[in-house]
Amino acid sequence: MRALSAPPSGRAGAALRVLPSVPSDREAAVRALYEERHVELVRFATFITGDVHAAEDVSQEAFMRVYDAWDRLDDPAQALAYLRATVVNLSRGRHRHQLVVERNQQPRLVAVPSAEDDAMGRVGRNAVLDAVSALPSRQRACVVMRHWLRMTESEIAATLDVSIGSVRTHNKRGIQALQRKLGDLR
Amino acid sequence: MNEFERRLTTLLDDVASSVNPRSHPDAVFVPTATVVPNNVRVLRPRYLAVAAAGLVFVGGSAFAMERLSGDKPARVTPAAMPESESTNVTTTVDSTTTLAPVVVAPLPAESANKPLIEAHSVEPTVPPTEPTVPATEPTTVAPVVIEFTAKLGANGLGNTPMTQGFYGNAQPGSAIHVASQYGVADTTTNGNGKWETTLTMADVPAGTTVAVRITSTTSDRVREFSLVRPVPPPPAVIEFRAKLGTNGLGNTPMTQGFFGTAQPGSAIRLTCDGGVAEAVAGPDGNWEAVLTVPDGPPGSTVAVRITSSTATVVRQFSLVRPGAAPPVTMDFTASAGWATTDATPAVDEYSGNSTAGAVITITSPYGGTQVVSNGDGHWTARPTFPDAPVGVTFNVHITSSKGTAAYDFPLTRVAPPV
Repeated sequence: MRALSAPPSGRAGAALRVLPSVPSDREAAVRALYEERHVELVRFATFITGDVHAAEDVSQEAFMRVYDAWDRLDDPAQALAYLRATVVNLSRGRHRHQLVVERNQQPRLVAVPSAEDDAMGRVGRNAVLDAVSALPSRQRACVVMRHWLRMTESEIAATLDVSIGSVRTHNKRGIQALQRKLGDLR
Repeated sequence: MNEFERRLTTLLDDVASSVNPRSHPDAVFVPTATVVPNNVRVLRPRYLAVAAAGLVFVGGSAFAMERLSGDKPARVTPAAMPESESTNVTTTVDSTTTLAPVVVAPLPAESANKPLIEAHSVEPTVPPTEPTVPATEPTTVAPVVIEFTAKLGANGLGNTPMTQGFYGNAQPGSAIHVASQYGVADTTTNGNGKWETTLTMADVPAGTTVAVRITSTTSDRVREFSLVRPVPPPPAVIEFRAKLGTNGLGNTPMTQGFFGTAQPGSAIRLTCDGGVAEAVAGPDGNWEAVLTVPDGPPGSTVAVRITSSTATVVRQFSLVRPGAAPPVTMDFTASAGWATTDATPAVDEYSGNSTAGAVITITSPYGGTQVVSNGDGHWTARPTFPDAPVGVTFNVHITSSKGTAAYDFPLTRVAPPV
C-alpha cells in the first residue's frame, strides 16, 4: 500500500484546492501502460517477491512511482524498464521488512487464509516458485528476466544497472542453484 | 541454453499463467480530494473489492493481509468526500470491527473513461441535498498527495546582490514562502505540483552564513538551508610592466606608443623632456598610452620615464629621433704625450679635437702619420720616428684638414737607461 506523506495535524481532512479534472498526458500514458503491462508486472513481481499479494502491492507501488516520475523520464519508452527495476528494488526492501516482521511476530496472530490466498495457493506451493523465491535477490531477478521475460543480457544489465558480466554470473549461479533444488525437472 | 533452462522457461510460464490479478487502471491513481492524515491508507478499488469479499469470507482479505504483514491494524478511509464530511466515512478495521458501513460503488467496464471521483465514490456519506461542488462545475480530484520538497537551484552566492534559486514540489496551488534575514521570496506551486523561485539577498557581508527557511501553506514541514556568502579572493598582484608600442618616430611631432600592465586602477605617468602622457590601468590591469615627444635635432636621444602610482619601479626608455646627426664642428686642438723618448724606435702620442672626419697630419724630419677625427670630434695618434738619432731634438708638426691652427712639439730621443 502506498504510504502517503503526513500532512499537518491541524489540517487533517482539509480539502485541497479544486482543480480541473482534465486527464493529463501523463495520466493517459500511465493508464495505457497499466492496461498493457499490469498483469505481466504482477506476475514478474510474484516471482521476485514469492507472494501474490505482495506482488500486487509492489506492482501497484511501481505504477504509482512511474506516475510520479513520468515528467522526469528521459524517454517514456523506458517506463517499462523503470517499472521492472522499481519492482526489483521494492521487493528487496519489502523482503528485508518481512524478515523483521516475521522475527517479531506474535504467536497468536495466525494468518487467516483468504479467498485470494486459497485461489493462489497453488502458486505458493509450486516448487518452482518456491525455489525461485529462495534465490538471492539479484540471481532471482536475473533468472526471471532471462528465462521468463526472455530479456537479453544487455537489457537485464540496463534494467538492473549492473554490468553484463554481472548478469551472466548471477544468472549462471541462479540456474545452478535451481538445478540443485529442482533436479533435472523431468 | 541447456535442457534444464528450456524446461525451466516452460515451468516459469506455467507458474506465471496461474497468476491472474485484477487489473483496473484507476487503481494507479488515488481517488481522493482530501488530504489524508498520517496512518490512514487510501482505499483503492482493489482494497474496496477485497473488503467486500471480506464481508462474505470471515475476516476478509484486507484484514488477512494486514495481519500477515504484521502491521498494526490499518485505518482505511473512503475517498472523494466533501471536506466537512470526510471524517464521517473513516472506518477502523481491526480484529473486532466489521466493514459493514462501507458500500462499494459498482465498477462498470467503461469506468476507466469516467472521472476518477465517480469510479471510487462511497455513496452513503454524501448528503444528496447539499452538494459541495456545483453540478455545473467540473468534478475535481488531486491525482496524488505531493510531498513538500525543496532543493537548491541556480547558485548566485557570489553575485551582487547575492541570489540563490530554489525549486521543489508541493501541493498544487500551495503558496511557498522563502525567508531569510536578508530577503524573502514568494511563489505558488503550479498545477503539476512544481514550484521554483529565486531568493535575492541584499547587502550580505562576505563570509556570512545565511539561514533560509522555506514553508508551504499546505505542509507543516519547514525546509531549511544554510547559504554561505563566499569571500572574494584577494586581487591578484599584477607587476608593473611597460613595453614599446606603436612607433611614430617619423611623425611630426614624434610620437611613441607604450603599453603594459599594472594593478587595476593604477595611474600611469609617462614623462620625457617636454612631454607628458597619462593613463589608468583597466580592471584587467592593462594600460596603454601614446607619448608625444617635442621636436629636437635628428638623431638626438630622448629619455622617457614611466611610473605607476602603485609601484616603486620606474621603467625607462631611450628614444632616438630619426635622421642623421649633423657633424660635430670643433676647434682643432692637439697635445703631445712626452717631450723625450728612450724607445727604439722613437715614439710619442698625440691627441686632440677637431671637426668629425677631419684628417690630422703629423710630420717631422724623421717620419710622420695621418689619422681621422671620429664622430665625436676626437682624434689620437701614436707616430714612430725610426731614424731619429739619440741625443737629437727635432720638431713634430701637426695640422688638421678642418682647422687653420697648427701645432709644433719638440721631441728628444735619449739613450735608454743601462
